[in-house]
Amino acid sequence: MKYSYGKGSLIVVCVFVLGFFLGKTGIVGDRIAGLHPELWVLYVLLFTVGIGIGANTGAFGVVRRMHARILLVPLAVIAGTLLGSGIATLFLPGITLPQGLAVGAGFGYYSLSSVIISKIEDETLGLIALVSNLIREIVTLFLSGPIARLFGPLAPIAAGGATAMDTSLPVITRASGSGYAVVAVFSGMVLTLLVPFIVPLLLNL
Amino acid sequence: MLVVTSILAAGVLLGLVLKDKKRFIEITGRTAPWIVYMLLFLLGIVVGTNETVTGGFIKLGIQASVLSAGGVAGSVCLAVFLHKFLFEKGRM
Repeated sequence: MKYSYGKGSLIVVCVFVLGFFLGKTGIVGDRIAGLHPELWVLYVLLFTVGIGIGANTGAFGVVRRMHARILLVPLAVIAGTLLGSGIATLFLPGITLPQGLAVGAGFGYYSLSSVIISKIEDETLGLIALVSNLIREIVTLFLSGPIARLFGPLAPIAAGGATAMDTSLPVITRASGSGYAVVAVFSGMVLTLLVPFIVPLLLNL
Repeated sequence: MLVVTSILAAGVLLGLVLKDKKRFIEITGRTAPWIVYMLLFLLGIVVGTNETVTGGFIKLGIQASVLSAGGVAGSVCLAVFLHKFLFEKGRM
């Protein structure tokens, strides 16, 4: 979830469950679902995400201030996530390696990754991406403190993935210290930018 | 993929052009959560009308949890490594 704080993930779960039951009970009907209105809303979302990125280029000044080392943080998050998701896929017979990697490459950005995956692959994998990335955000929101104590200040930033720049930023800052806020924003921003590119790329492997 | 990338790029361009129009940027940022709620509501409907999905909900939940556990564990491992070798020794 981007652009809002903690309670956002709860609202998201509620609206999703509401939609799910409306769809399942047939109140809304296949006809509306068949028109795929979610695609049009996705396009609107992508457009507003783009505006946010374009209007916020000043944030890239962080790189200059922090030295090139900061670049390694999102790179480590990408490599670690893909490695971990790849290994996890070995235990899931129904999921191919590109599919497992694509779900992981949502980096917690569940709204965007799930709809992109639903569009390119199928709704089942889209749902897995939604739940999987939502869990990633919720884990970060609730466990950043213990994660930082056990694994160091960069660990909550890694766990947060793309959400480190907004949704989970307050908890990460509290867990890792305010000095790491810049690192979190930078890492989250790079991952957020990469989600719409990496996910389709991995699915086409 | 081309559609997704083009729309995103168009948004970035508009954002760059209008970055000094604070009010516009603020309104855009504020509508984003509502668009996400709308999106997830519609996704819920699409998923709910899909028989294959509703039939195997628990299985999907387990698969999703295993994948997120893998992703989080993997990235945390590399973050530990990175912190030890590059960020420690009082450089941060």
